[in-house]
Amino acid sequence: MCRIEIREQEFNADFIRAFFPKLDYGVLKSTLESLGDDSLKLDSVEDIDGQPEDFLRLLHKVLLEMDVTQGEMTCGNCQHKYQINEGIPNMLLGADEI
Amino acid sequence: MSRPEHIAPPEIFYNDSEAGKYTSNTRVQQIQAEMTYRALELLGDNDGQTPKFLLDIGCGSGLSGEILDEEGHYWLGCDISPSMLSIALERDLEGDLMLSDIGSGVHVRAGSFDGAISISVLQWLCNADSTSANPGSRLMRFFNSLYAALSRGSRAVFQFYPESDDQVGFIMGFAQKAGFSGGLVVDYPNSRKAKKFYLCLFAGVSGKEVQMPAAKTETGTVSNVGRQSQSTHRPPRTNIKHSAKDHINHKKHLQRQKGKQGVPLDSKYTGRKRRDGF
Ligand SMILES: C[S@@+](CC[C@H](N)C(=O)[O-])C[C@H]1O[C@@H](n2cnc3c(N)ncnc32)[C@H](O)[C@@H]1O
Repeated sequence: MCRIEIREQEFNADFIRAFFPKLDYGVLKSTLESLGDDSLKLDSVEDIDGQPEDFLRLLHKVLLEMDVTQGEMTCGNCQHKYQINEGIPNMLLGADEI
Repeated sequence: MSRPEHIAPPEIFYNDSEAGKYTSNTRVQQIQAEMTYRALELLGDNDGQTPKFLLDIGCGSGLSGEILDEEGHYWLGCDISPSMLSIALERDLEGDLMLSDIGSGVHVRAGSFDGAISISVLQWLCNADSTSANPGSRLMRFFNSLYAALSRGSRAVFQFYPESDDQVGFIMGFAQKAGFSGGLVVDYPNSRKAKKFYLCLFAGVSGKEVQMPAAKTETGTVSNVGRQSQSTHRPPRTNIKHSAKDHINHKKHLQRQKGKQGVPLDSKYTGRKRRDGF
């Protein structure tokens, strides 16, 4: 079961622009789609500075305001499942898993 | 008094009762806040324009994260104690939280953070809490993954309570192997109570040489104990440019001007002076 909450945060366009290059946009998009959210329409983004503010606000919303409070993340390499409880992912591993 | 990290593993020591006592102790609150401000200063938190995305290593119940909120940064905190994290949740901070053991590495995408702080945590990593856990390999895994998690040119600042000079050397050796440069800043080295250790690490630098920040001293002389420390003989800094209160009020003013909602009200407690000694 998966639960998503929205927690409002102050929008800062400069921060989003500075943060964007660190991001794998494709992974963000597919992660959102796996949560049933198709709000990101662009397939790729070449130049963040050329994007309209609406797009920056959309990124702000999905990056900073959208909280998966309940759910799980599956590791793409080893298929290990990490549970998310009350918005806190549990990344603890057993001694044999490190 | 024996050191908490000698008593039990962190997730056992910081159980519900200890986590509650720790967080509600006003003296602890003051000291942690003061050290967090200092860590931000050492991080080179200077432009005050674009907020940073910071990692709070061993964030606990968010006493340090609260200051990051106040300073307008975005942050992710990680901690091994569920009890500490559940208090952090109740305290309704802006940052995100993650339950993880830093000795198993920092599990984030490479280059994610503009910097990292860690307040009163690092000494915990020097204690093997189970027979299988070797402090050396845990420190190595931690520093390697932290180096990767930071963007090039950013810094990590650790306030910590080393047991001995040997322990400092032990820790710094692994940081260096992971590729960090930097060193130790000892504030108030002559005061038994006010003396504080800050390990300042630089994750790759852009061309220019890094200079170790100056320590604070009672008399105002600059002293550095860093591997890269050059004696710069800059004018001694006995005080921060302006009072913490001015600084906070200035930031709040800017935030209000930008139309930010929910900027904390000014009060007589805003940025109050905390004594250096006790
Ligand atoms: C003295 S508290 C400091 C908490 C917070 N930084 C503050 O300033 O209030 C030390 C914290 O380090 C955490 N800690 C100790 N070892 C850890 C580890 N291996 N991984 C993650 N957190 C750890 C403890 O759970 C505890 O919350």
